[in-house]
Amino acid sequence: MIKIAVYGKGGIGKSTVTSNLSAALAYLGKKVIQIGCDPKADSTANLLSGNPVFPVMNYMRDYDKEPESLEEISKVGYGGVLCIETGGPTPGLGCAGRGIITTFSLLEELSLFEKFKPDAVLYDVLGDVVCGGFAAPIREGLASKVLIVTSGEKMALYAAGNINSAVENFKERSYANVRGIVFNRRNVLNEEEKVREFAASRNLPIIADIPRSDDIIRFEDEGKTVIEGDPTMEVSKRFLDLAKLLIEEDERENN
Amino acid sequence: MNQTARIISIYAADTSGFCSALYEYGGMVVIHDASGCNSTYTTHDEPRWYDKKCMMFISGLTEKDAVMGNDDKLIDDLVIAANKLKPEFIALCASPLPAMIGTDLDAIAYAVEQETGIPSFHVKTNGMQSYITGAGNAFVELAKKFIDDKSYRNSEAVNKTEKETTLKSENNDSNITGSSDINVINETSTISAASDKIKVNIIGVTPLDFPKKENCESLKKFIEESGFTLNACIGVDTSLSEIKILPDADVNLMVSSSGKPLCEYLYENYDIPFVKGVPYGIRFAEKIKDLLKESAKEKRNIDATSDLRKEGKVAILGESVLSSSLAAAFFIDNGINACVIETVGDGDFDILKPFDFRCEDEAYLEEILKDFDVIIGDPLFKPICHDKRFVSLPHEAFSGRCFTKNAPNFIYASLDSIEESNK
Repeated sequence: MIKIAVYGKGGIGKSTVTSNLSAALAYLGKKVIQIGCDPKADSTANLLSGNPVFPVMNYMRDYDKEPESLEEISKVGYGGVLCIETGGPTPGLGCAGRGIITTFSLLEELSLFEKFKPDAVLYDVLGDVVCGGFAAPIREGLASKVLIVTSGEKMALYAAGNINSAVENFKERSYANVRGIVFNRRNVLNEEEKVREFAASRNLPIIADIPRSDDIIRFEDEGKTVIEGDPTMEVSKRFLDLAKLLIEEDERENN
Repeated sequence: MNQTARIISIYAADTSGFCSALYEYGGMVVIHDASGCNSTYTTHDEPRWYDKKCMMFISGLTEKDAVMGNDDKLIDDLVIAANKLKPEFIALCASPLPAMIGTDLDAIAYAVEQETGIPSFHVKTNGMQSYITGAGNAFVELAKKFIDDKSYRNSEAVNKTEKETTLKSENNDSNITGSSDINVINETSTISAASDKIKVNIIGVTPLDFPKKENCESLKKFIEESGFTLNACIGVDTSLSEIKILPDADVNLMVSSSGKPLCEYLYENYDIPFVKGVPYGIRFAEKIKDLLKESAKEKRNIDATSDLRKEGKVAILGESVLSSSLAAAFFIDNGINACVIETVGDGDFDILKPFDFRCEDEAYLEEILKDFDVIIGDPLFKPICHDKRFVSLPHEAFSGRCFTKNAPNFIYASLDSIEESNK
């Protein structure tokens, strides 16, 4: 199974990358689960045509009990992608990191993987690895590979460096490894040079290069990914190429 | 107010169940918690503390370590202690604080095992569930770690052939009707006596439910005098070698809710069925004996209490498997009908009948009890039982060691002594 966690600075395009990658995997015939791990709960919006799924933490807050079935906290979106959002506590209160751990425990209890039997599961994680909760997706048995989304902006690269170091620190724990950089272009000055230098200094490959595209924004306004909007566009092809790379890798590793 | 206890006690937590389940297996048992709480798990809930040694530790978690995520400190301490003490295994569990901040004890156990070479594992607890969950999870994790799958698979073919021959021999014997069945088979079978007997594991024995030495002795006596071979008794009077041979049994006797996860694990992974029930009384014990044979033969899980319960004006308070078994024993041995009021809020609810109750709330319990004439339960329930006739049945998981010495033992014994014990 393809098990990917997507990290990166806030606002860098993690949800865009994750949902387009999910859509691309589904377009190529794979059964996909996408789990948004962010209190904002907007990771899967572009897979659901603007009809959001009820986040797990919101369910617990509103009903004061745990959901008893997957149907209550999931929705099937484009290409059959099963969409789940952890959500979070009331803003300014509680513990969002703990919310992610609680959600994962719950999904385990509800036998998510046994019931849905996915070919791929993608975790879209809020910002940096700020505490144990936000490292939960890369723990043993969950994601096996980490993709770091970055542009050439200074703070995006800084966050990417922190994420890489955090994952490195977990080596002895049998956690996920960083698979590579998803270069999400913002067209800032000397952008390619900066990202390539960053990747080389950490011995990380750039495994996808996503051009800045108004089409992404145009289709997002319609509640769609570019894969759903027009899979023949150049930007869509970049996501499809990344999906093919991950599929081939997974097949190689399991044979 | 709901879910509060103003007058009565509360049950031991999952961390106590974890310690109790792993007490005798030679491992280093570590609760990740602030220091100063060891006696909660040992002297209060553990009658073996004064007789048998156990490497039970608290990690001494500080606020600073929790906030800073100083997991390395715990790993270093575990490695130093393990290298010195050479335990058979290292088992970790979480108190509420590490559970809340999401400390990854699976990863810490993995790191410690890599460093020391000593089998290490994490048992899921959070200090807020009951002893049943803690003990149940601990038994399963221990079995997962120590049942040697490879050697089991190698011997499986041979054992299977032997077992099939034995069962075939039983099936062909038309005299199999009562307690002397096994003797008849032993006399007529061509297979050696040792392999002829059905092998039984007793699963789910901890002092939290079975505090007295006599409890365990009676369970073993029941198995042996019924013509079975005791394969393992999990987890009192036991050792790690018994965990390793669990799959050798033909059938499991599940004597508490704490034993349920392991019984289900052994059924799903090794095709060993289980019978649910504590052999209280004489006739109910006989019934369990018959059902153990039936279960082994048909590879079917059986609730021994299922046909032996009727609604009555007697209430039995406590853990579901023990209480339902006692109710069934009263029915078949003494003709008394009793309802079970499950008061732990955890465990095996499948065994309960529609006329039974599940009640964790003190105020609600007080109301329910008004409808009964006789109440059987731990002495700490007595203050909310009004002027009803109260029969004392101490439960270690509820009142600790306060009343243990007066606790009657009804396992494989007449229930008439309940009157005597309460005079």
